[in-house]
Amino acid sequence: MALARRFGRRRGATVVVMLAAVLAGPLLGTSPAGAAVDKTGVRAISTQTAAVVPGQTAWLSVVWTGDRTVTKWSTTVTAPPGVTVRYPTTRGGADTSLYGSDTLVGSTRDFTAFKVQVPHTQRSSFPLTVVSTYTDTCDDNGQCKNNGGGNDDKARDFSTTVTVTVPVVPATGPDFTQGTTDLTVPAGSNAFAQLAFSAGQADLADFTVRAGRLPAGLGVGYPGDATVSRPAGGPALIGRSTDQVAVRLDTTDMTPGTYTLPLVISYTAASPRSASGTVTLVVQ
Amino acid sequence: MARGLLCLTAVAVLGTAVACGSGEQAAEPRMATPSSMPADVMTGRIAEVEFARQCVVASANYADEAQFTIELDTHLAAAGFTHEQWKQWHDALVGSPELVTQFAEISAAGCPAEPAG
Repeated sequence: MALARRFGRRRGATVVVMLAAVLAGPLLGTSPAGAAVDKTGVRAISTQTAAVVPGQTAWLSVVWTGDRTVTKWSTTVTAPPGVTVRYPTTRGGADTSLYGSDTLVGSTRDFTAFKVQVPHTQRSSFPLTVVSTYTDTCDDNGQCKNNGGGNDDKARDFSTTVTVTVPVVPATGPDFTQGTTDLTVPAGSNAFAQLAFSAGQADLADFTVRAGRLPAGLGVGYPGDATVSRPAGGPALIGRSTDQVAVRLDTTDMTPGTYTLPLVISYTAASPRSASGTVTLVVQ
Repeated sequence: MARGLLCLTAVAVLGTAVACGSGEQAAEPRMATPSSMPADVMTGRIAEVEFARQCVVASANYADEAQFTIELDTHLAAAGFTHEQWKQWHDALVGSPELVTQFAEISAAGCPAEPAG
């Protein structure tokens, strides 16, 4: 209630100030709104993000600071052709803002985060053009709304554009690892089994798994009666994530024992590739 | 200040539960309401966590968006704080020059990877 009364007084004061400005404007030669100078001191602390590897999908960030408190923060990022940028879904996906809120308090720091998808062909560092828009709620004398200055009529929108570099480094480690290497199934069964695969640092497009030469008596199948199985989450195995592929194992004609089931794994990184794997199949 | 930096290093590098500046374990800290939060030892520790976390984030490449919050909560938990306490502190910044000054002082040295000045 006390706050509401204070706002009420601010509105009254604002009307008086605006009226005075209208009357005195022609005499004092006020500047047009478009000539306002950004005195917020908003700036990126670093102009380089974390490194990525070719073919990677990654959430990156830029840390910001400023001399004055600014509100209604919005950031958009433009990347070179081939690199796609996405934003947090919490804001609708058209932009990103600061982590803590959409206000950057003067003399503090906060960061904006966004997702980049880097093609396998991108092997060198690339620039991102980062445009941040915000509202300065301080007047020319540094009297700010949040400090009780009552300067709601002084809010002005500004933007700052910075170019940040995204270093690209070679990927290390395997393209993927096979998480499931052993399966135990009952004799006389016919059901799907899940095989886990984890991608390395980069995304692997069109990731498929099929059985190779089958042990005697074993029948296999794939979801949708396809000729291969694909990750449950989509056609790609996303870098640094684990997904499952389903394989139907028909052991109706098998006798109990331990068998080796060869796998053929295909995917596209910088180019189409194929690898082999095995699953030890225990039929009980 | 040196003590604060040492503590910050402990939080950031060792990830251990330390109570910076007070010599006490950060158990069940109580925080004032955002509009009245004073700058004290506890808010200083949260500011240190936030600064350390921002240094990590600035040079991190995450596979998942949720990792930003996981990173924060990991740092907070190591220092004995909850996400809610961090949020109260963060929300209070806008109305508390004391907290801003405290956070600015803690951040003044900059992250190791930042350009000087």
